[in-house]
Amino acid sequence: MRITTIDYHTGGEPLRIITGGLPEIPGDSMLAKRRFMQDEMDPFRRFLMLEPRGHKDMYGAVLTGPVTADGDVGVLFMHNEGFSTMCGHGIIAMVTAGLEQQLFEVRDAQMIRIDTPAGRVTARANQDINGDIVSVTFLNVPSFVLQDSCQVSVDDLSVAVTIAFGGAFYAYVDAEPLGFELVAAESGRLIALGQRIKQAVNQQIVIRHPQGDDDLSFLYGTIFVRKAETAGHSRNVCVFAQGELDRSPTGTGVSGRAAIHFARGEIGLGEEIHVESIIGTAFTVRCVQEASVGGLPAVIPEVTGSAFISGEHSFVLGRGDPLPEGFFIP
Amino acid sequence: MSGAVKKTFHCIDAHTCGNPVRLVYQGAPELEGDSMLDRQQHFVAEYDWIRTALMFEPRGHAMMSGSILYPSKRDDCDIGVLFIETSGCLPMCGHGTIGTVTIAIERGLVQPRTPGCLNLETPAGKVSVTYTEEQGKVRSVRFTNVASFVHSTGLEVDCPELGGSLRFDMAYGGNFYALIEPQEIYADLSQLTAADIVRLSPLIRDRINQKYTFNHPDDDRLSHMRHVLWAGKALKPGSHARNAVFYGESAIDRSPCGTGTSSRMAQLAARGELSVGSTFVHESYIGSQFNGRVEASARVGDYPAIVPSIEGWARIYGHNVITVDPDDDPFWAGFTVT
Repeated sequence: MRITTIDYHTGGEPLRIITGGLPEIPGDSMLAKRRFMQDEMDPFRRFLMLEPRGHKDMYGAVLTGPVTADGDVGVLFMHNEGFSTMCGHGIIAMVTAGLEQQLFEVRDAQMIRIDTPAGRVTARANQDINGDIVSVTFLNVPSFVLQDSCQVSVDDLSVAVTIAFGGAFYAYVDAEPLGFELVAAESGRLIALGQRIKQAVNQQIVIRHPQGDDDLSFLYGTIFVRKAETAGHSRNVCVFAQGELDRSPTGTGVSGRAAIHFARGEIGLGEEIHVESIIGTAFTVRCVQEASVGGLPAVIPEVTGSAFISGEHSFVLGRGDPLPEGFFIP
Repeated sequence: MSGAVKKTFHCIDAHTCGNPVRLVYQGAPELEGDSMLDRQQHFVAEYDWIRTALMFEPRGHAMMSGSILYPSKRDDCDIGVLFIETSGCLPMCGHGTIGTVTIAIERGLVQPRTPGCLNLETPAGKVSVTYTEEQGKVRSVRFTNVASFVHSTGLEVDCPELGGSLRFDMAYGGNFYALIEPQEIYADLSQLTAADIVRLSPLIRDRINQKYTFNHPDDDRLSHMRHVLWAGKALKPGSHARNAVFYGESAIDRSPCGTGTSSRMAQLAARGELSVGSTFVHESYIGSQFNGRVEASARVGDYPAIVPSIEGWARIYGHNVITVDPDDDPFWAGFTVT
């Protein structure tokens, strides 16, 4: 077995893009392909994401053919726990890599049609005069607020959470009353509390996608929010999967943020906000259009960020290696 | 770092009993100096960005570690090794030695004068290694470590987080270790989660370093304690004991830790529980094992000491071509989240 990858990072968050060595993934929709990978190919995910080949905060992408008549490419995303439905930093990295490394064919670099498990995402590469890609902008799936400001009990704490969808469901929490500055030194405590909040929300609030799709009806993570120390609008720290802490501002997470602020009348259509991460990298997001999802008001968010290559890898399984599927230390 | 230009590093990645070893075989700089310790000083002064770029996120991670090979100028050594870690350059690294030898032999990066034996020049000095091969694959590597000794016993440090005071011994096995064995307020390693170890260890380390100093009789540059070893009961058949070593800012060794195992063997030898020829199988946090053996007795200054050898295995898992471009990537030198 030999699996090749090209690794990029978007605002510090890795994306390991598999370029060779995986079998075909059957399924006539991206959700069906995702289910197949979950059921039949999870050892590949563990091999590539977990230690010793990956690490606790590794993230990966598998490119497939499109599943729609007009699609350019399909993508599945994976992390330390399983397979996600959509990933914003992943879209930015896969589009940058796709064009820089010719990983897939595109008809128009200004209109790249990507099939994700959460639905159609459209992206464009922003190039400088030399043709180098400086950033990627994508139109996300319709994003909406499921429940604004509801109280959940987290052990002895009562925490106000807002549930919104930006490709996946997140519980948004105000960091300030909880005493967090949202800096790297707090990462251990943020991970611990983020996981407890996610668990509490899962027990106390029914997360149901309004179109009734079971594969999308789950809470992906907790996002801590507070105002930015810099000129930016705010800071976002997302804890997802098994205690992964996003180094980027989280593309789907800032999409949910845009939906929340638009619903509350705090931003208008076209109004940009800059959201920064725990390490100070930023994404720009704005609502470009109103929409509706299963009767709920929604917006189409547009997210911009930059990705960079970090290396090319070829993974093998050594004869007698007792850790073929890696290991995970929480 | 001034003068850094786009660089490509070719690496072979392996893991020693679960802990990574990234061997840089192409792209590393020429270093000045006669000894590996001199060359390490040159590397730290001028090329530390290579270490951070290859060890830190996004190219590495909190547990990454690696090595670079150099020709040795010593007549009695086959090759020189520089160890690079997230925490800096280490003079000697046990799991790094096992992984580096496995990669170097399997990939033909070194030609041993005597098959099955290799003499390494590390910044800490000469390290002799034997290895076994089967069908072109290295199956195990045993290295003879530096003389290891107990510095002091029955020390105490406050740990209100566990509800009182913790007793510990201080021993040296290539690095100084605070050895914490099961006691009233610490029943066993199995009672601590990885998050507990990462949270408690740096607090305990700081308190110990404020309260005590530890001098190595041979060289004052070795006189500091940065490693905390939590000892516990074996979980696997064949193991004598289990341990978790905390180092750096947030790392738990995934291997049983070569220098930590050496310090623990020195402690057990000082109590009469091990003697020359005794074996000691040490288990890691994830259940992998090193086989220790007491090779000889020795002295370090006035301290009675042992010369331990440690055997373990490594497996190559990949080949990486890593790009570092200061003009393009704001995180070309890496970042940490701790």
